[in-house]
This record gives sequence, C-alpha cells and structure tokens, in this order.
Amino acid sequence: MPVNLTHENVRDSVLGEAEKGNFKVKKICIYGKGGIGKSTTVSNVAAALAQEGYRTAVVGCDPKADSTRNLTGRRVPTVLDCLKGGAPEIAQKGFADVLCIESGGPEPGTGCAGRGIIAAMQEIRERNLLDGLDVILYDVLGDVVCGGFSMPLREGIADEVYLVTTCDYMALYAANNICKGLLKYANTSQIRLGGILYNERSSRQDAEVVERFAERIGTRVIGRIPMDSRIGEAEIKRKTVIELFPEAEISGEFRKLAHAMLTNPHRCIPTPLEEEELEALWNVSR
Amino acid sequence: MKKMDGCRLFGAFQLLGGIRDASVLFHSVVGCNFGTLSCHVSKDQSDIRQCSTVISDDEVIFGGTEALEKAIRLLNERGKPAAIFVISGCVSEMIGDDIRSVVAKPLADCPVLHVAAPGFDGGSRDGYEEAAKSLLGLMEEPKERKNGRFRVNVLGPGMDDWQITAEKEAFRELLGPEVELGFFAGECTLEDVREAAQADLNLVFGRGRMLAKAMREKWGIPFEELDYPYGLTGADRLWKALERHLPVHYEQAFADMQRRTAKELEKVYCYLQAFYGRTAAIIGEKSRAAGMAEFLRQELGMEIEACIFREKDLDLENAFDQVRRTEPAVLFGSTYELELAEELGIPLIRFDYPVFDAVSLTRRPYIGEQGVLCLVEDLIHGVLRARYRKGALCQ
Repeated sequence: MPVNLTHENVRDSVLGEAEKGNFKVKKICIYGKGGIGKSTTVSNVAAALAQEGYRTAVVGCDPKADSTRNLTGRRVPTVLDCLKGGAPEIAQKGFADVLCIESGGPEPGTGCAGRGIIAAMQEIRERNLLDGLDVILYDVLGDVVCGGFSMPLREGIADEVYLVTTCDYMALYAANNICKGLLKYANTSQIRLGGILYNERSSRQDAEVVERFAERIGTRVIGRIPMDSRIGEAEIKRKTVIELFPEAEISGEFRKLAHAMLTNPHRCIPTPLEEEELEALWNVSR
Repeated sequence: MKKMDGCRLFGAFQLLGGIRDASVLFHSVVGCNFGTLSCHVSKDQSDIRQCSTVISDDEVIFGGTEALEKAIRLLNERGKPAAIFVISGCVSEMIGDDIRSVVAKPLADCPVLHVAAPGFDGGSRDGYEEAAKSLLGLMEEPKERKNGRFRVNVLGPGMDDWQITAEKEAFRELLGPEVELGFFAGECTLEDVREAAQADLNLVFGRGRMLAKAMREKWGIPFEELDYPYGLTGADRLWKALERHLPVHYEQAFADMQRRTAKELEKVYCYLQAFYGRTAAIIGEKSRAAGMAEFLRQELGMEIEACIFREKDLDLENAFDQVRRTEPAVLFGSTYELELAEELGIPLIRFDYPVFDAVSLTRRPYIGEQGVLCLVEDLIHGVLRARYRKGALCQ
C-alpha cells in the first residue's frame, strides 16, 4: 500500500505512536570531520523537528561546547562545569523548546576530553535528563579519536549514526575512519550507520563521489545541505536558519533532511574502505 | 598475566624515597601512594615523607597541573624538605599533563625534580634507572678531597629493601678503613647525592647502571656491575672489584672473615652438614637472587633448582609452577612468595623487596661477616620451625 510520507503524516503517525507508548525514541549521532557542518546540521534538524512537535534534545559532545549555540543564542553551562560546582542547571531550553545539553571539556591542550565525554554521559544518564523525549541528537567532535569519543556509540546511548561529509578527500577519509570505529561497536551492539549527509559547502561539487563512497561502504546518501550564505548569516546571529529564515529554501532542505532521518528504514553495519579503495573513488572514468 | 615485578612507579619511589631529607610527591591517583606506603610502613612508621595529588575525575578531565602546583606549594610549606621529587603515575602521563613546566616554576625553596613513571611503561627497574638518571643534575662537580681515603658509591639498593640500614652498615664494614662509603642509594641524604661525583668508583648492584654510565661519561668515574655480596664468596667478589680500580688489598680481610666465620659456624656444624645437597628455590631481583644462589651453592653446598629473576617478564603462576616442580626444602623471596611457601610447607627466607609482613627493629644484615651468620641462623630457624622436611636437620 503506498504511504504518503508528508511531514504531517509522519509527525502524526510518530507522535500518535509515542502517545500510545509504541514509538521508540530516536537516538542519533552525528559524526564527521572537524568544521564539516555537524553542529549546523544538528541544530537545524533539531529546530525543524521541534517545530513539528517532536520533543527533541541536542547533546553536544565537544569540549568547545558550541553545538547548541544557535539554538540558545549563547554558550550554555556544560555538564562538566556543573560537576566542577560552577553551574546549577545543565539542561537549557532553546529554540522551540529543544533541550540543549553540552558535555563540555578541558581547555585546549590540557586534560582528557575523552574522559570528559564519558563523565558527562554518565551524569546525564544518572540525572535522567533525556527521559520522555522523541528524538535525541548527539553532536560529536571530529573523529572517533579515542574511547571517550566513541562513548555515544556504546552502551545504547545512540542507535543510529549519520556522517556529514563534503566531496573532499579529507572529509571522506574522516568519514571512512569513523566507519572503522562504528564497525568495532556495531558487532556487539545495536548501533548502525543510518547514512551520509552530503554537505555541498565546498569549493568543488561532486555528488557522485559521495554517492560512490556511500554505496561502497554499504549505505546511501540520505540528504544534502546546499551551500547557502544564509547559514553563515544565521550563525553570526546565533540562530538556526529555521528560526531566522523560516521560509527560505535552505530551511526547507533542513526540514526534508530531518524528515528523512526520522523515517529512514536503512540501517547498516558499514564496510570501511582500504586507503587505495578510498583514493580510487576519484579515479572513475566518466 | 600477573607480573612478578612491581611497576615503574615503585622503582622510582624506592630510589627517591631513600633520600631521607627529601619528599616524594606522587602526581597520580591515591592508590599509588597507598601501594608504596604499604611496602614502607613495616620499616619505619615514623618516616612518612610521601604524599599525593590524589588525581580524581576533575583532574583527569581538566588536567592536573593546578593540583600539582598546589601540592608542591603545600609540601614545601609544611614539610620543608631538602628536595621534592614529583613522580608522575599512569593517569597524569596518559592525559599528558605538562609537569615539566610546573616543576620549572619557582614554587618551592628547594629543588623540585620530576620523574615520569607510568606503570604501563616498563617495570620497577626502569623506574629506578629513570629516577637515578634524574639525580645527575643535582650532583656537584668533583673537588679535591682532604681525608686521603678512597670513596665508592653503591647503586642498586632501594628504600624499604629488607634490612636496608643494616645492609648499608655491612657495606661500610666490607669496604674497610681505606675506602669510605659515599652515596648509598636507598638510604642517604641530599648532601650524599650532591657529593656523589666525589667518588672514585660506582658499584652497581642490579640497578643504577644508567646513572653510573652517565657519571663515567661526565666525570670519568668508573663503575663495576656486581651481584649482591652475600657470604664470603660475595665479599670476595666485591673486594676483587675494588682491587681492580683502587690501590687497596683485601687478602687479609678475606682470610680474617673466613677464619672468624668458620669458627662461629662450627657451633652448628651438624645442621650445616644437613643442608649439603638440599634443594632451595630463589625468587628475587636478579643481582640479589644470583648473589644468594652463589652463596648457597658455594658455601652451604645447596642445590639451586629454581632461581627466578623477578624482572624477567614472567607470569607469577608460571614462576610458582617452576618452583613447585623442584620440590625445594626452602624458598628465598619476598612477602609475595609467602603463599607459595605456605602451600609447600617450607620456610620462606625474606631477602628481596618487598617485605611487608615483618619488622626490622634490630640490625640483621644478610651481607658481610655478620650477614653470613644471620642468614645461616634464619635458614636453620626456618627449617626447624617448618611443618615438613625438618627431619634431615635433626638426624
């Protein structure tokens, strides 16, 4: 039977199931090379979902603690600030009531940020801060550099991973590396790769390379983020494009992406590429 | 795998803790302080010159340099030590605390030195070597000595070695009137360290080779590597080494020690006869174990079926199995081997670090002339009080 997957239909169906207690909370992790647009994607997707009525949370897993800046309009106190005794509240409400939490971490060049993520996750869990939500988005720093940054992949914290990438070599190299980390945990847990989010914010555009990469690791590109100057403008004003330019085409693209992530039935254990295979992505005769 | 050797941090502590007017500050979790302390309390409970930054989750996440700075200031203010040795353990080394910058700050009225001793990077010997090397910077240039005596340093012993104070005195006696004891590792003062380069010779017993080598390169001080000088054979080895480097002669000392020892041991001749051909097993730091094996073989005629060096990367259970297979009448080791000795129903002669189930209020060394008598006495007592295999001594 054909299903009409409009935003409204999906929302009504999901929220209806949630009210009946059947909807399983979506726990999504966003990974990707540093500066690739993870936080922009997460905050806009969260804003889009929250506007549609989903109870949504964003958990920033980056010592810089800037994942939720566009949702709250400021730098919020972090979980680790709270653990050090400096902040009474660690969950803040942002745009459209998105619950915003930042794990926080040490000053650059000191301490162990990975351990910080672990401690913050434990604290969030102990305080039951993420109970009763429909969607939780984890925005994780650059790469799975150590055990701490792979924490969201473990212990049932998240169950789906999306990789943000451009068509550039280093971005796909990082995405492939993250797949290696994911593979390690996928065999012993429910964590799966949901797909690739293609960010067109690059001097060159080559969607085919990203498509090929997705296909070869066993997944697909589930959405694209077009290059749009309004993203940068909104960031300067500490807002999402969803909030600042609700009618703009780019906001529509983020809504589409949010919708695709929510309804995506394809989940896989990725098969990361060898370095030669990765380089061969650009050597296909046209 | 359960290793037989202590970790790098213990080795560093054994050397630096032995500088009696200095203090050790562990930049590590609290367990490192308790662990080392537990090997120390049976020796001298009035001498607690160690403390810790007690690294917790906050320091792991945000870095521990602030806590370290605070601890150095506090230790300087309250302990007024002659030097502070910061020993960094696993956690601070894993998170990469910039300890070098902290110790370079003017935080104390005394020298502050750092030794990296993460337990995952080597064993106790490596920690000792690293710590010994760090002392080089404290040593003063050699100057002319006025008393006309030769001087030797002894490297290798560590704080909390069994009967370390008595051993130091025994070493002094062995050196005789012409040679004075300089820096004795494990039992010394900061002044001894400062004056270490005044020595004519470094004697290295198992550990401290890197420092001895550096001192040879810097000041031309020769060194000799020896096994611990247990018994008459050990004393002879030591004396021959001294004779190779210094214009001293120990023939008379050897003859005197031989004569006096034989006279004393005559009193237990029957027991000694019974030791001949008996098997013994030894587990210990290489130079101690090898020195002890030599004494037992050469002077008591015992068979050493198992002589296991602690610093070899052996699994404790495998080592114990080796000992079990030899069915020894007596086991030489540390408190760690007590369980095995009890299982086999044989006496344990504690001679290797750590010994934490006995106190040492009296001075009973195992080296030198007095050492031979103490060793033989303990050996006979051990066998006579054991559940099994004592019959041979009573025939």
